[in-house]
Amino acid sequence: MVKQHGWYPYEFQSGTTVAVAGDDYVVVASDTRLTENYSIQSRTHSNVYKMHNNSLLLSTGFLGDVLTLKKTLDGRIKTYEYTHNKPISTPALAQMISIMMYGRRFFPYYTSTVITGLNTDGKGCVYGFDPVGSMTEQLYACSGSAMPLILPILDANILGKNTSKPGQVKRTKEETVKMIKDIYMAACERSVELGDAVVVHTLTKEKGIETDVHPLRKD
Amino acid sequence: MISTFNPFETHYDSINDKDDFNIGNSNKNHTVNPLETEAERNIRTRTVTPIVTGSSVAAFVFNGGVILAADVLGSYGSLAKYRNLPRIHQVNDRTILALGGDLSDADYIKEAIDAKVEEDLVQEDGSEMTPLALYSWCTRLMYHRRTKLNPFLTSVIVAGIENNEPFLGRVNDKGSAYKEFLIMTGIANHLAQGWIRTILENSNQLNKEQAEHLMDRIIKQLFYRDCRAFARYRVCIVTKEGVEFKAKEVQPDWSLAPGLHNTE
Repeated sequence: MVKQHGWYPYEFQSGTTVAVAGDDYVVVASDTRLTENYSIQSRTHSNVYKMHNNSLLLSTGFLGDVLTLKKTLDGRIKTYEYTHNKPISTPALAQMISIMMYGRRFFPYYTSTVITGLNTDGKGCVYGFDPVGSMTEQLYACSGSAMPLILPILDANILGKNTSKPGQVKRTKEETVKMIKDIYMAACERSVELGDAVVVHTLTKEKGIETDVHPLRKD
Repeated sequence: MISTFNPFETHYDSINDKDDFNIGNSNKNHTVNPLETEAERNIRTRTVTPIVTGSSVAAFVFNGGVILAADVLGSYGSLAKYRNLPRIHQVNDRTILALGGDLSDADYIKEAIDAKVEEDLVQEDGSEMTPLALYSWCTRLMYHRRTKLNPFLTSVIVAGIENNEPFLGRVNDKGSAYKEFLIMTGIANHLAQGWIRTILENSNQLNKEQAEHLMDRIIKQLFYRDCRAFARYRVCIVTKEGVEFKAKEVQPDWSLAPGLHNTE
């Protein structure tokens, strides 16, 4: 066994997630590679978690914290349903996550978390968090190991930032899915921690969650 | 007897603790419940380096079951100190636990799980620990101790049959956990993971005999290359029919070695 020089309570597993909100949909994606110190531990590990109320939780970073956050949240969602006799809305869930993460302000959950869902009108909503629970509602979000590669592409494609033609580009959900797959295919060429496959979930009011898996390079 | 051992509880060391020199007082006589153990109060008493260690554990899923293997050596640094310490533990007739890393922590985890099994048993409601339940429980235990900065320096592999399907999962010392059809811990992660993953991905599911044969091949390779490996090992096969343990010994073939030059 390799001699350990001290012990550190955090570690980082790979994983990249993307979420895009539309007028009547939300598309989320995650790659399925799980690595630990440059060795691939799983090719089928998605970072998207379906919550009880049809919200989708995207969480990457330290897997131990991700699992704990998800488990605690599952319990709290049920408690909310029993006390209020209704499913928790995605904005309320976002607020709950923020409070839970800030509760660990001095020993943070080392995760980049995004929660997505549909609001009461069926409009997509995306909330992003930092590790200590600061929350922002966003049009789109990207977090995880290949975030520096993907985020500027989303800035350009969705908002027209840093391009010759600024301004928001509206997309149908099919176009969004295609865009996300293309971006993952490009990013996996440049990031060793991204690969194997990308799972794309499309959430609409009519059809619920539809899942699509697209293979990526496995090296 | 009902076991009252609870690994999540803070253990109060009545001999070493400065607050309790009244030997003979049982824990029940304390007016104030101590909030931490001696280890948590004093950072120097926490184990941050493994002492007696076990090397790799190899495990994978085959058609209709799971196979695990680990040698029986407990190393004390580079000394092959304990030569018969099996690291694969049977929890019940469909759940198996395999441990690597610090073996005293592994022992503690085993005892904790056995206490839990007994607690379930005396309820007499027919409920039994399933692999998924044990896996989930282990994630909480390992994460709990890492959060207290007093970790178990072990890697836990849980295997078995869950809903008539093979189950294989791993939890590490920090509480990170994943389920996968192939799991290798320790140096096997570097020496065998890629090679075996290619074999398993390119073959249709192996049957039991093929799986056992492949596992023997893995252990032999580890015996050739891992300085902390040992010839004697245990193989455990879990299928719907039950759990099967085998004690085996690597039969190495060093006849190639004299012909090899410039390989360092």
